[in-house]
Amino acid sequence: MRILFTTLFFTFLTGLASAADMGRSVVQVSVYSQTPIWDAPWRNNPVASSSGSGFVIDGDRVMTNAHVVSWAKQIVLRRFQDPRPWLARVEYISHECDLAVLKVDTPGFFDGLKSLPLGGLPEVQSTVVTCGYPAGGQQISYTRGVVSRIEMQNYVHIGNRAFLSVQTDAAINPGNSGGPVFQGDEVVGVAFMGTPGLENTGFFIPSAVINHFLEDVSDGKYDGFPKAGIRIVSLQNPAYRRYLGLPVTGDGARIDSLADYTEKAGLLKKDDVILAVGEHPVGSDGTILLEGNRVYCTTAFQVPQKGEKLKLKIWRDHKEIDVAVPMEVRDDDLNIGNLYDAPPRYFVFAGLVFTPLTLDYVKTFGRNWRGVANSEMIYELYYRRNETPAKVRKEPVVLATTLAHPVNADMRLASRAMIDTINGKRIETLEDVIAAFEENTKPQHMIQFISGTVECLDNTQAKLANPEILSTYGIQTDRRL
Amino acid sequence: MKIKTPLILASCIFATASAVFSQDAPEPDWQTSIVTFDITRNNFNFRIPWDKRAQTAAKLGTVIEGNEILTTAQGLANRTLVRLQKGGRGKWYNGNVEWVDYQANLAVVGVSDAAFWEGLAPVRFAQADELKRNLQIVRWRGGNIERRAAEFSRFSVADANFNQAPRIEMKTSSEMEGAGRGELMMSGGRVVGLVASKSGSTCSVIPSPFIMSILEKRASGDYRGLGFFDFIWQPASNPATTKYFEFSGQTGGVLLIKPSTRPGAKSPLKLHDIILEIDGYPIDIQGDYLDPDYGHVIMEYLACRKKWAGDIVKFKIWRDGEKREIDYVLPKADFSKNLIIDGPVGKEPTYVIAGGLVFVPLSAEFLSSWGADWQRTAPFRLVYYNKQKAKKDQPSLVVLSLVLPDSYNIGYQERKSQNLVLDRVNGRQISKLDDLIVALENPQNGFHVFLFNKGSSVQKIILEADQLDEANQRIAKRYGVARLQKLK
Repeated sequence: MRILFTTLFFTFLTGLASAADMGRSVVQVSVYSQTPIWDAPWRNNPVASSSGSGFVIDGDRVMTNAHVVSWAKQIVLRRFQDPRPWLARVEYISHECDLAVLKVDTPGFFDGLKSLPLGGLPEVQSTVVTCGYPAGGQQISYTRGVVSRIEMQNYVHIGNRAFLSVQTDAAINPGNSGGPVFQGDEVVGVAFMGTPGLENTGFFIPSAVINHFLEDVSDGKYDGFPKAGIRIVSLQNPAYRRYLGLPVTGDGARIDSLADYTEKAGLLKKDDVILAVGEHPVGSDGTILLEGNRVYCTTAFQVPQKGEKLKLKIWRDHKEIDVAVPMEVRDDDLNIGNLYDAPPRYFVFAGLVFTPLTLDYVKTFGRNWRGVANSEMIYELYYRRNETPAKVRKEPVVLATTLAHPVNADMRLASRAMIDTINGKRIETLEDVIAAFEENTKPQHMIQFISGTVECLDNTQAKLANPEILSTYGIQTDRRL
Repeated sequence: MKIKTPLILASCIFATASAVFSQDAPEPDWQTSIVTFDITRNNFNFRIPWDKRAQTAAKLGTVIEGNEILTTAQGLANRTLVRLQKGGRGKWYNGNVEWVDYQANLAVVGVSDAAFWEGLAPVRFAQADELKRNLQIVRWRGGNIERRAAEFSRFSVADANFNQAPRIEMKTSSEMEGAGRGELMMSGGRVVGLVASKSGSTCSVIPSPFIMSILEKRASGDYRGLGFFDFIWQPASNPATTKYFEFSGQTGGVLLIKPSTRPGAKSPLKLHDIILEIDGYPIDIQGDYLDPDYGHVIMEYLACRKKWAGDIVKFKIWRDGEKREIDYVLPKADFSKNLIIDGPVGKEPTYVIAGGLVFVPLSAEFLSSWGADWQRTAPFRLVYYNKQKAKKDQPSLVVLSLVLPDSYNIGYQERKSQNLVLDRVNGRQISKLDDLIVALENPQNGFHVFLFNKGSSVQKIILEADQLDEANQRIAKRYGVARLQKLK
């Protein structure tokens, strides 16, 4: 018992001592940011201040979370025990995987700071130390915990993508975000989120995801994580396995449905059974064995970079085949994730404010937006693409609000409605709205909403009123495209 | 001046006498006209459709001419026993629902035991001009008659919450607790209406003129049910819009934006017609008209104002730059053919259980099993079918609502395998449970192949055909399901 206690104590001290030494390369990231108002898209919320953590990596760069520096107007770094503020800028950012790389242009910042090496995937139950500047203090903080589990998690910053994530009971609090998670002398992750209501539950981004991001940006631009465009379901029902000619208790998960673009590509088909992704055999529950952990096989789909091919072993028509799937980055689901750093597009005409339909826009309906927002908008965002891809609009547009003026005062439906046509032109993008108004020579403009409701404006009066409305409501320009 | 004084004095005396008379006029003995109901009913859970849970509810009714009791239709669906009590205490008598209309929210109940009618007297209903003053709510409570004052607020046409015939409602405020179970709203000696519901301190009352018109029609033997307007309109209050449709210079009317909501229906109305008058009542730009009995109310009520399903309603419309007259045949307020089936009320849920997979029709009753706020709490995709047109080859839908776990259906027991809408089974398009039964008789190469609508979280399920019967028996026994299917 005595030997065991000593060993544990020694290990703990070594772990913290090592982390404390490397902690000199951990910086505090202070940010002033300003987010837009999505239903008044020419306006911004008040400037807010927040802080997170970051750490030095190769190439005189600082790694942090994307959510720490999103919408930043100013980023200031503070070094360990150094009172001086250092201005930084975002070099690369991935809102998908919640990572960002910062540069500091002022010489001297990296003097005396070592870049921290990235390690591998930690084992479950192994000890890790988080390091950063959590809220409530100016000094660096270390907390120790164990790896609780490793699995795919929805990354809340973007909201609609899942990546590999490591759960730990080491405290990860606001301000820890972007800080390193150490194991021995290596960084095994970037702390990034907790779960409200769950005690001792923090998550960090593992090095596999970090490395993918760094490799992606190594050519000077960020492409993103490619997607295969398939929905994989378990294949555990004996009848289904027999139907496909597979042993009842064997491996392999089934492709249940394909995105429109995957179906058109023709390489993968419904009822294909994925036996292996790369070198990883796939279980009947859709998981692979990754360094001793069973994780969902989509992890392996996230290994290739844009344009690379992913080797799949497929069971199709009662035989095994190899398929190399070109992995492409898709932006078709951008609008159903949280958007950052690019202010919302809009067009104001005669006081009518048009903006694209996005998740950020429908969230303006309030916390319970799913129950409150117009159901046509929810359907368009989340279901249309999968059910009737031929009818998908490239960028559905909503009338967000109407700025009151005599020219539009008689409109009954004046806000929060999705546009179908304007002057007979089907609205696919915000540019269509502009063209529909600007090209119309008839005495009235006719706006038809998805609900069938119709509203009209006097053409001449609308044109005359536009500058006055922009001036009255303090809108610098009638459009942001 | 001298001449005028006696006249004014005489007027005052007359007015005072009138008020005294009104307050002191002998009222009927309400004890002889109000009865208590005790209703036992099966409360079905459409998500566990074989499950029957008995529920009892108390409500009130009133004696009408012809030895009948009038009450609201609420709570009478799936009834198993209806009992009545007079005098607020004593013996209970068995009743029989002789007529019920859930759209009108009215029912008539008979009692065959002649002893029940001894000492009971029918009420008299108030006319349209007697509805607003000296209101009181009357009911039995704890063996005594309870009376509470009520105050008239307004008339309105009930919101068409989902699929409902437009009903005129009288809104009143009262502090009577727990009202809304068929209590009598009375004024002087006459019944002004039945209290159908209460929210906060506001009571919704079915007014007596509406009740009388329905009772008269029923007595004539020609009651065809309530009709409704199956089109959707919008106010035409925007001058630019009226100009666009070349309708300037007119003072009223509304713009039609959907000629018919009924699947496959042919309407004499066309998109962007402007409705000017209905049955001679001018429609204003808000869509209201001036009702002789109820004041300004929304035009939907003209589908029920002394009109019945199948009647012709005269429309004056503006189309293609000119006025036209159109005969509109009132469709019956029957929504059982909608993509989301709604009604008829009071039917037992239907279902098919195949290998633990529980299939039910997509109906308003199924969705309402998510609670009163089901339009927000039920699965979005299922509710959204209400906004979609039926496909020609799939006029109604069948949902895989639940999976009863068994070794036979392992792999399909996750939540994502629930609330999926069937497309085809064994190659056959599925619109109703009968289609499913036929499809299950024709497996494909020894398998049952279930395909769900595009976009579903799971789109295909396979079951072993020759093991289905054995699995069915095992599942029925394990989960205590008496019948594996109920189709009618």
